[in-house]
Amino acid sequence: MRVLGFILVLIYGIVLIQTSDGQRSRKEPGQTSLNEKVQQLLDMSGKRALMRFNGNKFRDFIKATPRNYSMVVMFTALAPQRQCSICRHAHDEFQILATSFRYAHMSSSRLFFAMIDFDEGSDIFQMMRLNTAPVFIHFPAKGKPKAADTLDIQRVGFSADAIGKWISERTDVAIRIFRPPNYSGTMACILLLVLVATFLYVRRNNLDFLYNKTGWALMASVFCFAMVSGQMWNHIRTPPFVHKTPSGGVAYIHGSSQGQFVLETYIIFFLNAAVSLGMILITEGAARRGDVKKRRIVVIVGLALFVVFFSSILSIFRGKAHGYPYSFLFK
Amino acid sequence: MANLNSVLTKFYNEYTGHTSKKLKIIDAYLLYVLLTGIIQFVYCCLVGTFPFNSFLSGFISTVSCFVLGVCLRLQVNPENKNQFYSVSPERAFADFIFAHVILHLVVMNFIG
Amino acid sequence: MGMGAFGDPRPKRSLNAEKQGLFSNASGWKSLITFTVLALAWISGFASRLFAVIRFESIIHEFDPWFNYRSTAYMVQHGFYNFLNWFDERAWYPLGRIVGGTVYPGLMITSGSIHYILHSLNIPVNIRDICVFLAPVFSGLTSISTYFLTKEIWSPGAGLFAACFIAIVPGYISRSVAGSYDNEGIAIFALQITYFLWVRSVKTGSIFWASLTALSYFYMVSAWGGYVFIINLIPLHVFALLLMGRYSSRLFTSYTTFYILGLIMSMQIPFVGFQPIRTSEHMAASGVFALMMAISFLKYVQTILTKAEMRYFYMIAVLGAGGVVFLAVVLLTYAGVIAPWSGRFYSLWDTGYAKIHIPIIASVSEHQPTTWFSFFFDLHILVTTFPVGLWYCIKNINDERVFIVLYAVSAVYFAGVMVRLMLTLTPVVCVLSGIAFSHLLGLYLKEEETMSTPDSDSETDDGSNEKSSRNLYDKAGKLRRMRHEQIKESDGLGSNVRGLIVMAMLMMLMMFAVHCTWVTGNAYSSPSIVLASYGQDGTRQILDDFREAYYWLSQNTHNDARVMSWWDYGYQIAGMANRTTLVDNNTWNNSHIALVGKAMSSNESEAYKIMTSLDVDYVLVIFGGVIGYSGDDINKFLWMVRIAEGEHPKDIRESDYFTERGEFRVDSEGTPTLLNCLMYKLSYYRFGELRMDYRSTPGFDRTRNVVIGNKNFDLTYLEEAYTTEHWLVRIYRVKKPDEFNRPRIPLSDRKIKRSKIFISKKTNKRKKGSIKNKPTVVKGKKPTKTA
Repeated sequence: MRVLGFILVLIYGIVLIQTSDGQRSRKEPGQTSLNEKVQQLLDMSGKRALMRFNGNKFRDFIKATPRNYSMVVMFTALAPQRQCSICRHAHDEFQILATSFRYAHMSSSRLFFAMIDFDEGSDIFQMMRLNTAPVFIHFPAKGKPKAADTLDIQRVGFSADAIGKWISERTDVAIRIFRPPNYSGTMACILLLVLVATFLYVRRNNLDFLYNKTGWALMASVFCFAMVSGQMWNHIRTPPFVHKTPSGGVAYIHGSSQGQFVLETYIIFFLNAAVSLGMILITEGAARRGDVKKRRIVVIVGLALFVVFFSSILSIFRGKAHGYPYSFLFK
Repeated sequence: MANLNSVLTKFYNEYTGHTSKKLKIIDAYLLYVLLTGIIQFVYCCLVGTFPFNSFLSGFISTVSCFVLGVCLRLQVNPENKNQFYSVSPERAFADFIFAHVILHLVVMNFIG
Repeated sequence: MGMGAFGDPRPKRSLNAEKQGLFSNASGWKSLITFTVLALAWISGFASRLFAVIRFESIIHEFDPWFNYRSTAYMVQHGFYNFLNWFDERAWYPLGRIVGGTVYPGLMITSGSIHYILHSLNIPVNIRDICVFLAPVFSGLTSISTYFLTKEIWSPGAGLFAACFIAIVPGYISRSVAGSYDNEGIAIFALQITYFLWVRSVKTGSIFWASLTALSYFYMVSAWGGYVFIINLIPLHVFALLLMGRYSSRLFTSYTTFYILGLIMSMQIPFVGFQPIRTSEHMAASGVFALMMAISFLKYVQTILTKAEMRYFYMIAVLGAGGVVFLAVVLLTYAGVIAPWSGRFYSLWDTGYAKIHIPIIASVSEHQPTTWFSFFFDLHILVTTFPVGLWYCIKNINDERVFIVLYAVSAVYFAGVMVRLMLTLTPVVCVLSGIAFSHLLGLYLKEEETMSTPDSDSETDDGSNEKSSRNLYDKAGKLRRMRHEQIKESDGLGSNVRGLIVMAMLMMLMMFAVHCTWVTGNAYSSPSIVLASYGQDGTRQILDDFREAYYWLSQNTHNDARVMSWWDYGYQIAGMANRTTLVDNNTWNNSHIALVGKAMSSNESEAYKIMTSLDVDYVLVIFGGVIGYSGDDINKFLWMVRIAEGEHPKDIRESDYFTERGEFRVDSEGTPTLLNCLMYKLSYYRFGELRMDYRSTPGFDRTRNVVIGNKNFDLTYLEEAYTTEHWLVRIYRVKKPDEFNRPRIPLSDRKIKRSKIFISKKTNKRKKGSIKNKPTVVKGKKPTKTA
């Protein structure tokens, strides 16, 4: 349904663009009246929700005064040689936002989205005194952009939601963001399933490995260690890998009990696994039959793993829990 | 079709030949409960489920009667002796009654 | 913990010594030891939960327990049926709340029936004491049911270990200290007993055990929303068994009986209603039920037909079943009969979901993900040993061990997502660690025992006394080792190594025990309505400001006064002050909460409009700036703004409360919006005049360590009614419209009016309160007033 509508709009837009191009050729640029300007913008944005402007268009549609629409412009540098990686992200997000807006308000002339690439309109960058990219500026329908009309990327970021919120603050137009469904996750799942299925199919004559308890046990334990070492916290909160202190040192362990670094969780993962391995070795040493000497060594190694690594977990823990009184082997 | 027919006949013969009388009684009970359930379902499709809790309690009680009957049948079936080593037929019947007491107390409460 | 732990080694030790001589009646000794250990586990578990009662007093803690207590008291007073029909008009003013239909009544019924039984035995116990001590008592029952569960899964020795672990493990104590009268306290018991009965019924295949499982599942449903975990875990277990080709008639019997009885019973709880057949959370169970029926039917047919015929039949059956299921799903989804997952449930899977869509869930600290620190804090050594138990369970897999493995893996995932669900992880961690330790120590002690006494069940005995002996027991273990030293076997590891290992294990267990005691004493035993602060010389000072304020409310305001506060304090105001609240901890109506948040975050005149529209008489704020209490309203303020912004994006903007640099500051650099909003003004009213000691500047906020930005201001629409001793709670009265534009009214009129309005005792009180916050004066006044 929606796709069909979209295609229709596209066709409609293309037809209109062609006719309007014809119209424009008859008139001098820069002298178009307000209605015509709006019409042109509508046509262009119908074709592409996020319009690509160059210097002339910028002057025509944004700088020229009679305006009754707001304009949100992204100043960016997408050319590969500029090496602006966040510009690409910002562009994607902005694209999503613009498309969502066009879907919802097909013929609204209150708000338009445009972008200016540095390589196509460097004069604009000089005119606006911009020396970084990306920058989002809102040009209100009346008056000049104020300080708050520039999106504070440092603080709110440039995700589509954040930009949308900022726009709704500036223009009172609430935009509901439709992200194109992310098929990569689903595809990865399907791919994985297919892989597993083919693997099973190839090995169909020898399915013993499915009954390999060690494999399953290993998988379950690794999962437990991952969860217990707070990988889920990392996934949700995305902490830094390590912390670089102002004095130049590197902190591997977060000082408070409320936080953790990625590397720290890996360390804990390893320590937990080592303690468990130690305990398994101890048990196996006693359970197996065979060479006593070998078993004794296994047991001693297990004990050492168990005690030493547990003590180190305890000492890390003690460093984070201020006032914790107990320790073992290490302070 | 002929194949299906022959399978069904064979099934029927096997059943009449090899099933003990006790199990047949249980099977008759199960069939009766199944029919009751189907009637209830048809009724609800035709008339609607207005007192929803009454319909639910009626329907669930038939389903659970059926399930419990099947369980009883499994437990008293001598072929399954090796699986239910701790459950004698008498014990199975007592359990069956126990579950029914609980079930019908709840159903009474629910039927409103 | 303290006394229990000290009490237990002695008797056990003597038993142990006697055991050698009296081996003729081994099973008798075994059960005696089991009983003793379980009883001691119960006692030490009970004792370690009493820190709060001993340090403070026997009171209800925190927030939610106050509501539970209030409804229990209501039920005891008015009877069960009135409770079910209770419409509480004192909450969520002006909406009210249907309490009977929106709570899990298991907790109230449990303590209500205990109360009833004790009273019919002529033991007069106050319902409050029952509520306070309910969770510790149930923790004992939990450890017993854990024993049974572990016994079914592994061995009695492991069971005793697990029982002792769960009695003192902080992850469970955190929700079951005395005074923490909450659903979780009894729910964990219900959870464990349901799992035990389930495993039992899978083992025997008996309808009886399956019916009991359904009954205890019913109890769980009545007690806690976490029952969803059971109704998904058990089908998962069944499904896994089917996948592994472990179908048996026993499985059929136990699952179908449990499911159908559990289904109809769970619908008896008003709060649950028809959810079990309507929502996606419960659909897995019914899907597995249908699958089970289909498989058993096929199996039955298989017994009669030959293979070739079977294949033919199978094709028809599969096609038919597939078609029916497909049609059913399409139809049901189309008709909208099955509701999609609820938001709270959904947030467990898509972990970023709550943060974006449900700020009210994200604002609760219990719903945050779990750091490794909290895992270690709550479980200590068990965190590293339970994978060992898991390892051995998988290595020696059977039907019931599949269950515990699935339980462990799913619970550890959920615990990683939400701190709160650590509670469901804790029991399984105890079970698996019990298995690990018992397996290990069993091996190390058995070898010797087989030499000295040819008895096969020595393993369990050893397991049992080692575990309970946990602390202070290393000595006993050593002694025993000495005794056995002379019997050296050739193929053993040698007594030195063995002694070392056992010593190390006991050492670890001892550290676990002291850790548990320390954590319980320091982290989980604060009632949070009575605070304690420690001076530099170690003296303890009790800050009782909350109760002081609530008592003031209950004595000095008219009976149906409406108090506005942030939702955290709703239950406490209702429970202790018995006044009408606007919002409370049952966060069912987001827009109402957002309205209160909007009032708190707008300026005074805007807020006044909202407050008059909601008929607010008093406003209560928590302010920690004087004593440095960090959980106050200013620190929660950003959540109020966020929640308000969610519903009123035009009026409230989060960015207005941040400085240019994106910081939230209350000092002179803070934004004007923040410095003029109602919450700021109510918190810091007259704070600029306060000088805590001669060195500090006036208006120094000790919680945020800044001097506040807006010091001298007056309130137009509100007036200070009462402030507690340490300024922790501040109560303001909302003026009537004819009060605040006083300058327009002639002096004479005004005087008359004031005397007219405040003819009651309130006048004095209020003046007292606003003059200089001397609670003692007020308290002293009260009896004379009432008299």
